Amino acid sequence: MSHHLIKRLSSGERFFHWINMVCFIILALTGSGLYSRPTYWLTFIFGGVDLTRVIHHWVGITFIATTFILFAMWFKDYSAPGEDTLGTTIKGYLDPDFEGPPAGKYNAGQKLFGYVAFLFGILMGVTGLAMWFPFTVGRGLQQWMYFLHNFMFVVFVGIMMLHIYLGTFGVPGTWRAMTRGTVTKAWAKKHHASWDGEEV
Amino acid sequence: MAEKIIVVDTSKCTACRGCQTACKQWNNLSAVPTVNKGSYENPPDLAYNTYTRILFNEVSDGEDLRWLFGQQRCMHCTEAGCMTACPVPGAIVRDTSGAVVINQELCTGCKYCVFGCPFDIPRYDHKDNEGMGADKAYKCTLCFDRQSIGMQPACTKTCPTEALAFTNRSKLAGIRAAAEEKGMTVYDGGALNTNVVFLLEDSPSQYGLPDKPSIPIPTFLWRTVMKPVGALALLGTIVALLAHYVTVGPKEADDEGGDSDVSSSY
Repeated sequence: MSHHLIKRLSSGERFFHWINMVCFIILALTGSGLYSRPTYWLTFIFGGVDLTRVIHHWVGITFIATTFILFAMWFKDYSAPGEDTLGTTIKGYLDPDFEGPPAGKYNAGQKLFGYVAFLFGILMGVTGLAMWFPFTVGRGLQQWMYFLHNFMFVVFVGIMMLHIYLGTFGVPGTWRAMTRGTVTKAWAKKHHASWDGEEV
Repeated sequence: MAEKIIVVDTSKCTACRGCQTACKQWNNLSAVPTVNKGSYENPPDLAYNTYTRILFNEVSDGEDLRWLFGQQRCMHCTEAGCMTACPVPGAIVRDTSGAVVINQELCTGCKYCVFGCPFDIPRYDHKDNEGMGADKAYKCTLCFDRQSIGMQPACTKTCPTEALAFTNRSKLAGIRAAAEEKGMTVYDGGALNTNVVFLLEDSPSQYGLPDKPSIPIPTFLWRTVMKPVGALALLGTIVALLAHYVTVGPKEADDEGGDSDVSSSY
C-alpha cells in the first residue's frame, strides 16, 4: 500500500469508538427531548416519548460500556510520559507559528480529554441510574442528581464539540484515522513528532 | 391569581375525615388497604388514589398531650415547583380557577414533578390502577371540574365545621387579621403564594409543613437556570469554534512528500 501512510487506530479501536460516538449523539438528542418543553419535539423523531426513554436508557448502558472498553484500550497511551504540556498544546492550536515540544501518540490535551471523557461517562451513568430508578437515593439527593445530570450534559457536549472539531475541520487529516485507521507521515510529523508509528 | 381560595382553619377541625371520603367519592378513587399503626391517622400517606388526608399530630409539651389536626394536600402554588419541573407541554397546567392540574393523558411518568414539589405532594402510579394508563403522576385537582360549573370543591362542601372554607381571596386580609389576633400562624406559602391557606395553632413544622417553603434549590437550578445558561453555553461553543476556523484557521500538516491529496481529504 501507500508508502506514506502510518497506522494510527486498529479496527477494534475504531469499532468501539464508532459505537461510542453514535451512542453519544443519540443520547444527546433523546436526552434533550426528555429534558424540557421547548425540546420535547425531539422525542417524536425517536417514535414517541415512551420509546425515547427506553432508547435513552439502553443506549446509555451501551455508551458507558464502550467508554470503559475504550479507556481500557487507551489508558496505556494516555498515561505515557510526554514532553508537551496542556499549555503548549493549547498554544499550538491558537498560534499557527508556534513550535512547541514534540507530542507522543497523543498530546497533553488529548490525554486530558481521555480522562475527562471517562470520568464524565461514569458520572453521567451514576446520575442517570438514579434518574432511571428515582426512589432509591432519597428525595434531597435525587433532586441534585437531576441537576448534576443536566449540568454535566452541557459541559460534556461542549467538550465533545471541541473534540469533533479538532478531529475534523480543526486538524485536517485526522478524520482519516477514524475511517481508515491511517494518517499520513506528514500529519504525524507535524502533530505527533515523537510518536514512532508503524508504516502500513 | 385565583379569585377563590381554600382556607383551612385547623382550630375548627374535628378530624372527622369527611374531606378524605368526599375527595375519594368525587374523584372516584379506590380505598387503600391499611393496618392499625396505633393512630387514627389513616391512610398512612398520600397515594395515587389518596389526594388528601387528615394528620393526627400528637404534640407533647410536659404532661399535656395535644392533638393538632392538620391536612396534607396540594397547596396549588402560584409559583408551582411541579410545573417548573414538568418537561411535557400541557401535562401540568393551571386552570382558570388557579388550580394546578396534572393531565394524565399527557403525563409521561418522568416523576420530575414528584421531586420538584416543595411539599412532597404528587404521587406516582407505576401500574394502571386508575385506568388512566400506567406510569402517571396524581394529586389533588382543587376540583377544577366542579368549580367550572359553579360548585365548590368536594372537601370544602362536605366539611361540617367549616374548618375547610372555600372563600374569596379578597377576604384573606380580614381572615388573616382575625387569626393573628387569636395567636394563630397564617401559612400562605410565602413567595409560592399558595391557593390553599392554613391557619395553624402551632408552628408549621408541627403540621409537617416546611417553615420557609420554596422551590427546591436543585430543581430551580436545573429547570430555571440551566435551560437558558446551557443553551447559551453550547451556542457560544459553536460560535467560538467557528471563529477559530475562520481566524486562526485549521492546523495543517506541512505539505511535503506529495501526499496533499490524502491530507486534504480528512
